[in-house]
Amino acid sequence: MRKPILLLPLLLAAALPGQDLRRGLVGADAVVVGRQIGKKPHGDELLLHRVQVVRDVRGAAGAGAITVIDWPNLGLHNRPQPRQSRLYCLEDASAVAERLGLPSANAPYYRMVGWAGTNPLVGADLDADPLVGLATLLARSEAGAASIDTASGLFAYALSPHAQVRLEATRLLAERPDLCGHLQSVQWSQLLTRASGESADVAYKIALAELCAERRLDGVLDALLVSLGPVDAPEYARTVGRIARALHGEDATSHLQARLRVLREPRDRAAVLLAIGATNTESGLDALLRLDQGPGKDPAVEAALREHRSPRAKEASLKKSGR
Amino acid sequence: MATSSGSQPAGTNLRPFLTALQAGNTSASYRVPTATSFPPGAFTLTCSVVDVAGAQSAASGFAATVRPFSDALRPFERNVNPQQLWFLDFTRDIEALVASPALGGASVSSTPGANGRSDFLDVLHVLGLQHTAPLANVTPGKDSNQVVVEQFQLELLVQLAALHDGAPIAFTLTQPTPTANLGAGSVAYANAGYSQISIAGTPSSAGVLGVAIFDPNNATQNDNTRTDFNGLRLGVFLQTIADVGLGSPSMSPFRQTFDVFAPIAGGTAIGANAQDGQRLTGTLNDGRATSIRAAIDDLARFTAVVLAHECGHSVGLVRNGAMPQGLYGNDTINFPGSSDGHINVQSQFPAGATNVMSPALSYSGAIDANTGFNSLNLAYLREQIFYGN
Repeated sequence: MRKPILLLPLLLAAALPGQDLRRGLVGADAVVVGRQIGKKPHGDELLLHRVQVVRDVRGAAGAGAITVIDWPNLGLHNRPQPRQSRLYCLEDASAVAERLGLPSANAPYYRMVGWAGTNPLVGADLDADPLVGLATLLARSEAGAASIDTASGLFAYALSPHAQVRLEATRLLAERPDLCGHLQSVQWSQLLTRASGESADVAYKIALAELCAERRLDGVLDALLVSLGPVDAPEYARTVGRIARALHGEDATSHLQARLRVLREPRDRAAVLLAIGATNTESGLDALLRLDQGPGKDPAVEAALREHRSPRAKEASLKKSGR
Repeated sequence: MATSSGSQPAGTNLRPFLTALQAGNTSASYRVPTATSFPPGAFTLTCSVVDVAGAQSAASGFAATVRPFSDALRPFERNVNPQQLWFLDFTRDIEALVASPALGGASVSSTPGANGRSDFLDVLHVLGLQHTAPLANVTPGKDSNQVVVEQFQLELLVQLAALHDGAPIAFTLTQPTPTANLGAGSVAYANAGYSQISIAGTPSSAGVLGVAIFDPNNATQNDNTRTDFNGLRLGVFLQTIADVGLGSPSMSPFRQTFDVFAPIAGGTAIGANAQDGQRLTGTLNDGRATSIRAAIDDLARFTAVVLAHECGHSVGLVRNGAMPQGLYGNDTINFPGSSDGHINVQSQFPAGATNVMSPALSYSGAIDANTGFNSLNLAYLREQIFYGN
């Protein structure tokens, strides 16, 4: 049977495809910079890729070459690509190899992890490549490096110009409260400033917002509100609404309404209204229903009501749309 | 070529035989009407613009090939079944799932071996959508756990129907009869009346939300309930989202939705509050009722998108290569970020939404109302296009 199987990996956070590298780097049994130098079939169902280890970041025990088991009839996301230097996040496949009767001469055997974005291309100068740098930092952490050094390194990467690396580092910090505790107030200030000021990379902006909110920094909501409107991506408005509720509960609405009062541009107003809807609070619903009392349709209020999950919001939304 | 005015030779100006959709000073578009058809084989359409002064632009050519719409190429088999039926199987029980505290949140792990409760229900218990002592008779004869599952499954079907609007695919919660013998995973349509897929717990490899048989041209019925398909489990794996979702940070959309219910996060499971029955039936509409509705709907929507993705593979999406060979799967030149069997067309979707057949799905992206099949994938599902010539 020649039926490829396709695997769907999870990307938990928002919107940039292929962004779970950090999970692969942390969870893999081995991380190497490798270059596929050959492959040969093993029966009809298996392909054995020989991968030259250009750099053993961690876990490959200094092997000069490894074998990556591939199932050519399966449509796996991550598969060795010929003649390219890539970062490999690998799972130990020695048990699979033994079960399949693969020759011990080709050991060690690995297979590629399933997380998205865990097999990126790397540059020729490995010491200057930020992806390899991030992998090395996490490998050192795994090997027992001081948490403060890991935190400091992640902080630097979180403000890096490299889009993928800064997103990964920011999300990893948000997932590691133990490391966040080592950051200094001046560093938090820099992160918050960037969260507030970032306007082009929305996924990164959201990651920074969640990181700063997770730390419950003073004035975090106000800082995030400053760019709500100028940044009108719905997912950012949802993030601000969600954070406002997490930080202030039912008072989230009053914080957002205060911002609403100083805005004049319809686009800015619509973004803040959407955030109010995304709070999913009773106070937010009441505020939106009051705004919805007029005879005409206000698209921004309607969108905000659609964002709110309560039956009353849905009812109001349907009533206005005439259904 | 055939037109409403009879057969036309090559070189004929086709404009009289096309339907003008819009024609202005700067742009124009035309539709090929039903009465106009191109003959089988290769041809080239050329187009040039002539202005009011008679000046003619350089011709622009578009090479294409017409092939018969054969049964083999047709995305859906119609001789045996009027539509493709998918049985959604929630019964797999091969492990026990448990949540435990982790740095900044919780993790969800499994121990092998059946525990007498389906792995799907294990996930719902971890998330607090089920309670060990459910409220009895929330609706006649059904306790709160049963009502939650019922509402989840109903919303799941609604979402799947919306995602497959216009496509000859249906989903059922009841195993059709006669029960199909799906053999090694794929069998001819004449031998099975339906395909099936599991909604279950843990995948073979961490981080995987779903695994399905890829069936180019949707040539067979498929069994995505297998637990050892050349060493891999098939199906949709909700442990993945539960595990990562309940982890840090607490500000994530998932945590903000499920922490209120998940016992490991200090939440109160649905059914543990005496008034949850009224909330489930809509007679009490307070903040917790809104949270219950959001949790059930979001998990159903997320599961529907993952199911649509996996079933999409098993009906032939997304074949690698450009048309007519494929549907641009793994076309990293034109669609950067694509991978084998997947296409990344993020720019075609509003911010926050994504194509169902993307190489990776985010939780927030999946539950975004604008997430769906991209137009080309949907056209395939609707049998408006095909591939494999």
